[in-house]
Amino acid sequence: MAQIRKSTGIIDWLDQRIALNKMMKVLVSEYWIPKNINFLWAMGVILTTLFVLLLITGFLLMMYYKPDINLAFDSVNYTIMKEVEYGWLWRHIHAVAASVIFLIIYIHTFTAIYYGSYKKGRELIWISGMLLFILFSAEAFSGYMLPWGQMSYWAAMVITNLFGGIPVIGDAVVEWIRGDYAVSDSTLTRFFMLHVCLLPLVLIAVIALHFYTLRIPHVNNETGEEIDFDVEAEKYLKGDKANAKVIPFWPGFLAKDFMYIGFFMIFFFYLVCFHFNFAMDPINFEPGNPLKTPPHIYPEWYFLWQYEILRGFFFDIFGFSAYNIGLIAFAFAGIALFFMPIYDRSDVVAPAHERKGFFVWFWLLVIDMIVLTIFGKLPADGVTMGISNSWIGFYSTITFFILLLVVLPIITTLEKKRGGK
Amino acid sequence: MRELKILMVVVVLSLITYWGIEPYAHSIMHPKVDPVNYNFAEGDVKQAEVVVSKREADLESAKKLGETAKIKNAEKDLQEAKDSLEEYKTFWAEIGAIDFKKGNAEKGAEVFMNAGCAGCHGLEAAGMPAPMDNASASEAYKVVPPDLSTAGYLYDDAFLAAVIKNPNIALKLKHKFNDENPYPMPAFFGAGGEDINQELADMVAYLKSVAPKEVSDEKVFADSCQRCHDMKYEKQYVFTNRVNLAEYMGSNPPDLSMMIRSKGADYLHKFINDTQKMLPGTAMPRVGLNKQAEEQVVAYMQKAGDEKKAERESLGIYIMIYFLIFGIFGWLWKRKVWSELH
Repeated sequence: MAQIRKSTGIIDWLDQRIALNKMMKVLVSEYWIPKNINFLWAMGVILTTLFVLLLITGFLLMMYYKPDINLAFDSVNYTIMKEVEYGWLWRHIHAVAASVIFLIIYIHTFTAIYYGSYKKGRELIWISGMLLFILFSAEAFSGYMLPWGQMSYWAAMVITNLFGGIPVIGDAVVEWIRGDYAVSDSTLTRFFMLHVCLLPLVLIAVIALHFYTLRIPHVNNETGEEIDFDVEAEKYLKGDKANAKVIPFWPGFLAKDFMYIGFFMIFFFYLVCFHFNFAMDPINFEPGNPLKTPPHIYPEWYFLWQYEILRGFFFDIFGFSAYNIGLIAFAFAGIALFFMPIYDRSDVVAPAHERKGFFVWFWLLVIDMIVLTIFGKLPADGVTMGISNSWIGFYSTITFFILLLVVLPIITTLEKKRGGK
Repeated sequence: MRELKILMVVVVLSLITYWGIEPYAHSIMHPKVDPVNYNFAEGDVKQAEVVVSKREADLESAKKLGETAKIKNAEKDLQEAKDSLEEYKTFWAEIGAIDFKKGNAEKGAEVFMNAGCAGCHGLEAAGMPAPMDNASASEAYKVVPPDLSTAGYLYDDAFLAAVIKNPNIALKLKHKFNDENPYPMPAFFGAGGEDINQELADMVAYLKSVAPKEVSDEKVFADSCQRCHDMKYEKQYVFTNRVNLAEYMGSNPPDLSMMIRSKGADYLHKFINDTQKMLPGTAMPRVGLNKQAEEQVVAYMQKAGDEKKAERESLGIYIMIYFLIFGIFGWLWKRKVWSELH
């Protein structure tokens, strides 16, 4: 045991027992961040803030929510919205944060792609991040079901049905997930457990892992410059703060982030108080009704691109049914971005505008995903600018896969051959 | 400035995505319809014309496909739509010929009795209670007939006359009721007077004369919707027996507590104004409220489904101001910290 002497104060007392000063150095005051980063690097802290908001409001909502198909809808729309003081506020913060967190996740992800933050030593940051995306998707889906509105019910119906496409054991898997032959009370209760217990536990663990993966390779920067963090940190600690290329997490990085969070929260609470319905499908204000199919079934906006990939293949190819191809494409779309470090054959870590081919590729991917998102919402039997929506969906689905699986490996291999940029 | 440029790119891309998912997709899924029209004569004829042109387009596309059965069906539908247009034109022209200024309330009271209205309807305002309690009325008519005390407040002259003259056309329920299966309230062919138009004008004048000048939102809702709809978040429940009602309407009409959120005020105005325009084939009659009464119903629904709107919006401003100040302090702190870092 360490030598414990009479402490000079509370900090010293803690320092002797849990090495408080050392811990603070490791986690904040000597956790080095490159100086040349822009506001896109604040997305991580904004995501953390949103996650904390979700956690706190989630606890408050859970005090009144009833996971029972006969009570769920009214416990949300009557008890929480009308009877509980500020229940509307917690509910809208929870719902809007759940939607906005995906917007920020997408910005965060595309920032990483643009600046090449997924490669050479930073693969685990990327992979743990993608794992978080999958977990957040599951968390969002299980939560969307809880108010037991029309779309909650039908989304659960459609999504759980997808597992029926698994060969041989499909039907059994669907039944296992639902806990019943159809989406029912047992489905609601288990999704409740997943949403408020199991998934949040796993999420918190993976968020911790995601943070930890940053500690050794360090965060990337605006120019992709390889910084010797030890040398630069030495400079900083000796007092040459102006010339050091690094800043400590606190106060340097967080000073900026507090400002960003403040301005972001203005936008966030504008949505919460004046435009909350952007995050809530009006159909979900009708109680779930197994006997009445809504005219259009579509997921929340952040899943639309994947949904469009699911229905992008609407005709059979070489004896494979459209349904199965769509299902495989959908399953792959869910995990496709995991493999970015493999598709990208080049070692260059630089922002996209310094990598010509990659720059064009990046914007094509962004445009394609926006097109997929918009057409994921539009009825498939419609016509846009003289082309049927189904074909637009098909071509943008194909484009997504060709961009990732064919174009990216080719242009990055060529880049490597040229010896860099 | 570089940061501002990046921010602009992020904002523009988010807005394009938002525009595509929300306003654009919404406009495709819910094609535009004519605005609310309280002049029912004009609105109904216009809407019937819209249906005719839709049926014409259907016939065209059926002809393109070349299937005989489909063409025949389309031709039949088109003919029905044309007949319906003619019927609306004639019907509203007849209503238009009534001179409501000549209406005499005293005579109207006599006509009201002679025509047998009090056989089914109560008129509490004139000291006439409903002839049956709700349970018996549900059994007898499948739906409780309304007390007419506020009818003169809820409806305008033309619509009242139209409902009395031929409820099935005025309420737009021709697809549901016909000669074999008649609407519970019979059409009015005169109560013994010489001029049926005069009788209608008199009855309208009578109902107007007994109606109160001011009616609460809750009462407007009760008199126009509650025979069939619950508003359970306001603890208001249907007057009609649910079993009879389900039989009468085809299924139990939905609870309206959350309707303001699932449909929105604009849709509800249009729907109350003309159900068939918004949901062709629905079993719900056109409500036909005048502008003021309709706004009261929607306000009541707003209260039930979005009670905290005022609190939300006033608190929203304070929260946003708080974060503006927070952000300014954040900026000042950042300037202080970074002054050493540059």
